[in-house]
Amino acid sequence: MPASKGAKYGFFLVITIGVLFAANLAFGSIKIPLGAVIDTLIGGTVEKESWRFIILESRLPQALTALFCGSALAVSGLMLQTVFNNPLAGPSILGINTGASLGVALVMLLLGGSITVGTYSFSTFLSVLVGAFAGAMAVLALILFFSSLLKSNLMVLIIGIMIGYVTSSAISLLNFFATAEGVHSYMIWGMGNFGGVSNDQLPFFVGSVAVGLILSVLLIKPLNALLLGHRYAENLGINIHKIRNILLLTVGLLTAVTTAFCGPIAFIGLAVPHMARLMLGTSNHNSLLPVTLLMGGVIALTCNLICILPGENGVIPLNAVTPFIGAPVIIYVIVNQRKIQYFN
Amino acid sequence: MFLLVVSVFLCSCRNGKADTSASQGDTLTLNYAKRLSMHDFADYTKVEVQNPWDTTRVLQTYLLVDRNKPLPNDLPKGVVVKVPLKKSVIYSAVHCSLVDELGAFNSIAGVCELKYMNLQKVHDAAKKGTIIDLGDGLAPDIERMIDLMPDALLLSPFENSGGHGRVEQLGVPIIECADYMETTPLGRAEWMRFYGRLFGVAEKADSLFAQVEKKYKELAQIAQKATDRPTVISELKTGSAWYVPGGNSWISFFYRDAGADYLFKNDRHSGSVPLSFETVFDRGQKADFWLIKYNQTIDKTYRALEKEYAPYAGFNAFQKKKIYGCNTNYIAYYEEIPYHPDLFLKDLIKIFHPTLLPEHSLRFFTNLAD
Repeated sequence: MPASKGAKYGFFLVITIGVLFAANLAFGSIKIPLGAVIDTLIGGTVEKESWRFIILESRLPQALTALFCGSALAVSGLMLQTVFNNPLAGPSILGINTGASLGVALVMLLLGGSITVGTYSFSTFLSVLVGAFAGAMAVLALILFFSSLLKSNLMVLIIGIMIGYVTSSAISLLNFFATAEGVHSYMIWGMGNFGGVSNDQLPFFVGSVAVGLILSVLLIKPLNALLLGHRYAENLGINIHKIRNILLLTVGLLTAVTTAFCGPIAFIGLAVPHMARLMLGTSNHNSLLPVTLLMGGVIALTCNLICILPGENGVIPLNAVTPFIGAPVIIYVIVNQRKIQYFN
Repeated sequence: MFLLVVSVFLCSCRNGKADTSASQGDTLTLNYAKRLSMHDFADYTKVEVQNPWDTTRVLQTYLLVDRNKPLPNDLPKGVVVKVPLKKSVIYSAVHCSLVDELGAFNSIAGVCELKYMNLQKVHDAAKKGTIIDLGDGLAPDIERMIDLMPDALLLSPFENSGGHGRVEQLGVPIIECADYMETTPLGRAEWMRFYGRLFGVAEKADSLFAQVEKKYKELAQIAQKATDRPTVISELKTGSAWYVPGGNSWISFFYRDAGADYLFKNDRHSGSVPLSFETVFDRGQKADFWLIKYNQTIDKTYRALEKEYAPYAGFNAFQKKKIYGCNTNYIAYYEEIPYHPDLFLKDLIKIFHPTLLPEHSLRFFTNLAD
């Protein structure tokens, strides 16, 4: 009974998210007493005004960003794995991340961080966002094109990896001709960061991720049909090309928004769907997609907590943490491929 | 009390390297530089550069000999450099700018990282072909280097970088410019006396340094007169980290000498420390001043800062409009400050204590526009 198992895990994950979210608000580089955290959240008076500011302006948006970013990446990973029928597909593997990065690099390095049109200047983040989306969609379009030419999903995956390499080399070239500061800020951006979204950008970020997530939930049925193989899906009356395009557009939206705001975050998109499958022992998207979505939030919130472990002495970059959680899962999945039920 | 501490500090520096014995040659007294020592002998000058990461070890010993005289017979162990240099390759803009100021610009035959050099004169010379661009500093164009056959390379050593790669095999003396690891402003500037000796302009370098030292100390004296010590923070958040200059960093000494209270002065790092936003905010929210440097085509404004990262607006310095910016895109911050710490100090004093220097107008910094 996968549905009830899914519901059980779903409930458990929601509780975990609640606990982790609270922990993300309560713990940070500086020590804020628990009482002050609670007072801040219920709108009471706080001993130090700076504590309230830190919790509301820094920790809260960061925790929300982590939650949504984790879910978005995990769901994109799952959709890509189903579309390409390949367990190793993911936004970073297929070069979609890198495409978004190239867009960002173009904006950051060539235009000095902002596009000026007359006296109006787009804020830096908006131009970065547009760059990321354009880059991600360009790579997706290329992959789509090749996937219509090539029958084998493995070949499409390899094409994705190749596109990723070409895009990275374009990025190195851009970096080579950029200013030292430009290279530095691009490099730092590449380490990933949930703290880049501030409260006034948050509605936009959460809104666009939510649109992507809702779309993905609506796509559960066709995703299940795709699992049966393209021919079966077509027999079920599903227009494969159309569905695949919608799926990839959704992935593009989710990846571009998260990459633009948080940088290219590695491994969450690849590893979380596997964690969810291992938990559920099924590939049925009815339960797999919601569990992946929640699991993504759990993992991202956990990574965010690990980043602040050094306390007052500093922070660990996000992309130094995610592979530690992601890579072992992938290795486990590959090594135990024969034994794991959902591969058979 | 503070004056006392400063004077004790200055005196202790002075006593450091005053021993002179016959076998040591004549010691050239360096009052501030901690990683450098120089001794004059009859037919050569011996210069020792300490390893900046392990001060008990000598990184390199140089023997500067007159290029127009035959090589002395009894030279000790060390890298022989024939001075004055005629065809040097310089890797960084700051040293090019110093050599130019010392009047030895024509001795520069090649540079690395030309595109990062904020010096018109070098770009003009590169166009004319009198200065060759050797490309990336970490992997210079070795063929052009061999073709040029310079008489010395001036470059900065990095920790654990595994040497300088192929240029080490050319047999060209490599001058390790470890001045950037000096922690005090005058300590770093004092290295100009070594560079002056390389280019045969020792007197000029010595007198330029004496001038810089005098001005710097006069300004520091003026700053000590201030009754208040405004608090200061610096830099901006990049990604998840805010790279804050450590308490033992060069910049921290500048703030102290300019009569400010640097809020991270108790930190023990001499480089930068990556801190989280909340750590900086917790300590720096009430800071009186906030100094930033950045490289952008358009100057930063308060509004742009808030758009970049809204929580910046929570700092007092932001609300009271006490943020000063230095746009290194067109201001020669990196090129000038190391060898003109007095000019930088003057700017800082003007910012922290405007009444003490009523005549001075800011050279590096500007208060951000709305």
